[in-house]
Amino acid sequence: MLDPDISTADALRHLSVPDAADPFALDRRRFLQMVGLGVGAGMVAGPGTSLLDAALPGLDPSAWAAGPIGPDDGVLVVIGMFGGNDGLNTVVPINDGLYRDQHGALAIPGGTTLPLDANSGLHPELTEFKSLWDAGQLAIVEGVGHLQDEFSHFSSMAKWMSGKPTGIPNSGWLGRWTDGYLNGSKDLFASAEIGHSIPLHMIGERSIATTVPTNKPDFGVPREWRSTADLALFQTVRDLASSAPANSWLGRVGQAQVDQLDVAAALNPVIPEDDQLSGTEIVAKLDIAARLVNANLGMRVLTVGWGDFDSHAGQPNQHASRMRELNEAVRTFYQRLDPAWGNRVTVMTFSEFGRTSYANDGQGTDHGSSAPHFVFGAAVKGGFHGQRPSLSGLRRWDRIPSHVDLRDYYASVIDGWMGGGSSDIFGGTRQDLGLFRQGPSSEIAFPPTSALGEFVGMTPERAYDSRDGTGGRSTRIGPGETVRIAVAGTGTLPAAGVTAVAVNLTSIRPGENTFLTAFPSGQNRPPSSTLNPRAGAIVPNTTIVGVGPDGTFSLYNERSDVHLTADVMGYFQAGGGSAVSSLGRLLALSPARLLDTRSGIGAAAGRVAGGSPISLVVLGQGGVPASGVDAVVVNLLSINPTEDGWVTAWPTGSTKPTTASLSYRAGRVIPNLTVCKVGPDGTIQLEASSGQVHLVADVVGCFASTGSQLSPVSPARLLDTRDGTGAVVARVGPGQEIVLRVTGNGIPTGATAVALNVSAVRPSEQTYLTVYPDGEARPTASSLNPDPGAVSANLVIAKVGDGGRIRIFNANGDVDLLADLTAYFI
Amino acid sequence: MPALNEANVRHLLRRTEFVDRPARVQTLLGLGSIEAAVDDIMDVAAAPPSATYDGIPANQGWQRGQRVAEHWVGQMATARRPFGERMAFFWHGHIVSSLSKVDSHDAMRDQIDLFRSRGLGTAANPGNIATLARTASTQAAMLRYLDNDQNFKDSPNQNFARELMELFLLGVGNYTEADVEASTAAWTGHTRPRWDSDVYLFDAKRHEPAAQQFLGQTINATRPANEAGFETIEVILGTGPLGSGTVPVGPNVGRPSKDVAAEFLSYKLWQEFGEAATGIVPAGVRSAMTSALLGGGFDIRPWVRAMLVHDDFYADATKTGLVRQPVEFMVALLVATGLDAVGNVPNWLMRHTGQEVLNPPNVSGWRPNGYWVNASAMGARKSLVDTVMWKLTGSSWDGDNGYIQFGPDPAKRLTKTEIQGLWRPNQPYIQPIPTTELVARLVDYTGISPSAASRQRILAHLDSDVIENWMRNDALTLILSTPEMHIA
Repeated sequence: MLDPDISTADALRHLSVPDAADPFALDRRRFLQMVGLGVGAGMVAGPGTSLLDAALPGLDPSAWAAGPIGPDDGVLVVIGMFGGNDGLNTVVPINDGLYRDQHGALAIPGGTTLPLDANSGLHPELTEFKSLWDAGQLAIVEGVGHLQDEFSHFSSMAKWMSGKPTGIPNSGWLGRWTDGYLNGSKDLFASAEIGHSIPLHMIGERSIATTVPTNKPDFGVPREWRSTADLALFQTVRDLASSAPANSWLGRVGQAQVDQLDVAAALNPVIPEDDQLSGTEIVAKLDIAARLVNANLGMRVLTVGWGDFDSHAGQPNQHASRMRELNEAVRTFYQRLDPAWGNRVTVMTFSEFGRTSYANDGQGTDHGSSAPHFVFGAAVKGGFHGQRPSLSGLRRWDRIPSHVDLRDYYASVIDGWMGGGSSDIFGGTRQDLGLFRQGPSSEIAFPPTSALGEFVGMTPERAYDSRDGTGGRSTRIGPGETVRIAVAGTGTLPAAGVTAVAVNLTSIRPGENTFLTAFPSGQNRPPSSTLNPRAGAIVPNTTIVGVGPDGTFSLYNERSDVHLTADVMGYFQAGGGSAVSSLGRLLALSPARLLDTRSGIGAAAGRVAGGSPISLVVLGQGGVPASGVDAVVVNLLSINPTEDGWVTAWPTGSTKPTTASLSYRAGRVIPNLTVCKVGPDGTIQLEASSGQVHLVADVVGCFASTGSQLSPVSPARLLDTRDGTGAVVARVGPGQEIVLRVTGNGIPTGATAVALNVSAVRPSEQTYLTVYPDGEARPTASSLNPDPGAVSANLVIAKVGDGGRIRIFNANGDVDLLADLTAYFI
Repeated sequence: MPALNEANVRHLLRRTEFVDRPARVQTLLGLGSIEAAVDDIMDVAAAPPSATYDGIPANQGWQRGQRVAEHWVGQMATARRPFGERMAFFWHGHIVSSLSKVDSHDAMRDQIDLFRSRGLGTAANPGNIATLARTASTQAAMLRYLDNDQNFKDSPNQNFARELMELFLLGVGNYTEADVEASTAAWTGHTRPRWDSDVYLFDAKRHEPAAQQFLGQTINATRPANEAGFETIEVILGTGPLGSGTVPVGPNVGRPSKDVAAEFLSYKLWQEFGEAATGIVPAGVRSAMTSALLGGGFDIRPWVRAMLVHDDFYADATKTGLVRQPVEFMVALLVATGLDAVGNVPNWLMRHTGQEVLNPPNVSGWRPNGYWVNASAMGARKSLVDTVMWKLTGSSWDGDNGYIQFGPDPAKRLTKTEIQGLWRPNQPYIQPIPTTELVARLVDYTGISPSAASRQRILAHLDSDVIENWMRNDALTLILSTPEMHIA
């Protein structure tokens, strides 16, 4: 008579309804404004400002600026895995013989899992979760359930979503949290389900979430072909609403119609066109979730969900697909999330139940009870929590016991992250599992010191040249191909302790326009670019890239094929390494011009001739200390050479190396950042290979005894003016500046400098960009000199200014700008 | 006695027949009294047609479920006397089952058809609450939904026995846990032969044989085992040989359970048809309703009639006290446009409004008013309007001779030329009809009467400079989107 298997979709429908909001209540933002908590609008959509300001042009922005969310408010994203996820194959007890016996052929071989500890491994698809675990940001809460035998999707989901093990599940735990948060006021944007109907957990006693569709909401947004008429139509709907007294059902209905227009107008710019979203449901939903956070609409709770996890049969493929989708979704979420919000977001999972420990006869498992769940984010206390259930003594139909009441699981998040209130939500004191190191904040705990490295300057060495087999390969890098470039243990670099390298990469004559991305080996390839060569061009760029556990960094090529050289200019070594000098810490400087052969700064006026080195004094210049400096970080600029060639920089007194610090092309302006050890006399040598060329050098930092150590990160895109990442969607005009916050999202506010790869996309005319700290005067210096119509990139070591911000100035024309952060100094 | 005037008749019709079509208003106004009007409304069909699965193969269970829902909504819109369907919808939200848990469209259809034919009944064959509850309890839908098919003497399941008292008949706080256990024992053995079968089976071997004390009466002692469960209904309502039970606890302690049940049920009926803003049933109508129930042995017709002819039903607070449920709004759209529910308005589209026929959110059914009023749900209702507009201007709209047709009456037609005007090469421009005429004809064809203020705003919108002739379909969109369209 077991009839538990109504479909999950039906159960979800059953549990999804709108509910009684009180439309009479004062809008929360307007309330906050009335009590005088206003903050100004700004260009960057980070904490304190909101796309609402731009989205509702008909309304007084100040009415919205009081929120959207407070500086210490956390955001919670809840992922529902509908159908019942197999916890044993998600967090695998690799050494448990009972697991192998009971799960039978479904058991995942321990060697293929991603190791967590001696006895546990993650499902092989969960590489993002492994990275989070390694970073100490993944809590795995084991043995979570509702402590009742309940094997129907419908009934068990109702218990999970309501947070009420008994009684009628007519409100949800997140809805009741929102009740307390809003405290009788109204906020259309306090909580949202990304989907089409509001699930039970988002329904409160007095408030209700808003739904955010995965397509652009339309009624409320004027259509191109009749925009004026549509605005008139919306106004008429508003007018119709105004006919009725507010304190009547007629008035409430009218206000809800007006709210609907406001919601559509606010959401429309946040939600991308369908073709910009993944076709995988959960990936698209978490992409939108990140966009909603970035837009700062005031959302504290976001829920998403997908399935089907109900793997009664054919489980191996089905479950692996779900795990792959989950992993991809989480990766997409963090890639999309504005760094300014990274420390303010926690993500958690739930499912209506786990599955049976015994495999059934059809390559599947049946409805179970308890399961492990994930909580992750920058403030999460990584590690195992709860209690792993024992499988001993279980018979064929027995369910795995629960050790953690789901209310304790929820309450730990409510109290640890969302400001408290669990006793109101669950009607009693719950146990706090201690899932958080700290609450939401723009501050973040200091990273583990083992990740920090001090700079070791060196005479440049070629680690890789695909043309001659240096580095082990003598063929071009093909489309979609990733190569690993060995650095640790090669040349003069030590085999151990190398955390990152400063390397000049040169892409040589790709068959078509392409881009290349350098990133630490073993990590997922980020959606950023290091080099953007056009077909047939030779394009160099320096980058600072983290080195993976195997001593390599990875380089990906998008299209066609291309030759590549890699010249290591220095490396960063964790404290205690034998080669670490006392001079390995970066002293970040506001850019200062040390050399300009056009005007006679630093050298005689006039072009530098090929083969004739010049000595450039760097010590005591432009903020560089007069002594105690190992190396300088200089942005070199080649201007209007008579022919193609390259510039080599090396420490005075050493043998000239066969490496390039900058490749120049006839008639063009090309920059490149370089790091150069300083000779004993305080100078460096610069030599052009051929022709005649003007050279400019701007110093942006130096390595000395006092300063900051480097922590490499997987490249993260902080700015993309094409899609609204970090700034509004708009090209940067002549004389305009982008103010970009670079700290947050795991970048400590104590960071003194960041390594950014800045790309300029198709400037309308020849221009230059100057990157400099916020709060200081804009220096005479250039960081990037893009040509009209081209895509060019350059590494920028940017000193961090006031409030963790930098400024990017554009001189001429208009241009789209991208910035990818590869490392920070602290 | 309530006056027979237009305002009262419109209110009566909106609550009982979903809409207040002018022709129907005139008919009732001609009947001489509110009582006569109510009797006319209650003159419902004895056997409303059941849904058929024409063209849907047996293995398409989801589509068949949709068909059951759409057929029913269609009957709400087109029945000669829709009040029987309206009452059935009340029972659907009161004696709740849901397709998503029941997982059998046939079982849900059987339950809905029970409510449709017996939820009010006819004068010749009146419906009765005790009978309705008894019949529903042994149908597959309820057996599946509240798990009574898994209630056996060795493994009791209280789900149905508890909700029967708490939500269906008596109200929370009027019984003890011992009463729940006694009722659970009485209800053991009602099951189905297989998990995928909709056949009712009483399994005497798995029935608990011991007599039980229930609300002060001894049950499960003398009647056949398969009727012991029915005894609980009879005791609660006082309709059987044992007479009424007695409430053992709470504020009603010592009172006959039938009196408490009559008040509980009258409260639910008033919330559905009267008003739900105050949470109070006015004393006058409450007394009339409970008296009718107790006097009629829980017959439904005198009970409903007592409410509909009472002065309290026509008070201003009552008239403004209910928001149209999404199904009521959907039916109003169908009546206004003449569209068929089946094939035009998929039931799943209703889900986003918060009310999907056959799928109440939980065993306590839907809640009223504020439950329906929020930005997301209003967006979903706007999507329903868009769908209706799209269907109306479907194939008939193409070309110069396009038109919008409202229902079968050929006179209820607006041509594209009338709405937008017509320009053709080398011929004089044909002007569209004036704005006032356009709105007047739409009001006539749809039977929707926007308030005077709304009508003025709609006219002003159409007369605005930015509205070009080809955009004048806005008139219908707006008529279907006024706030008053959402008030019951």
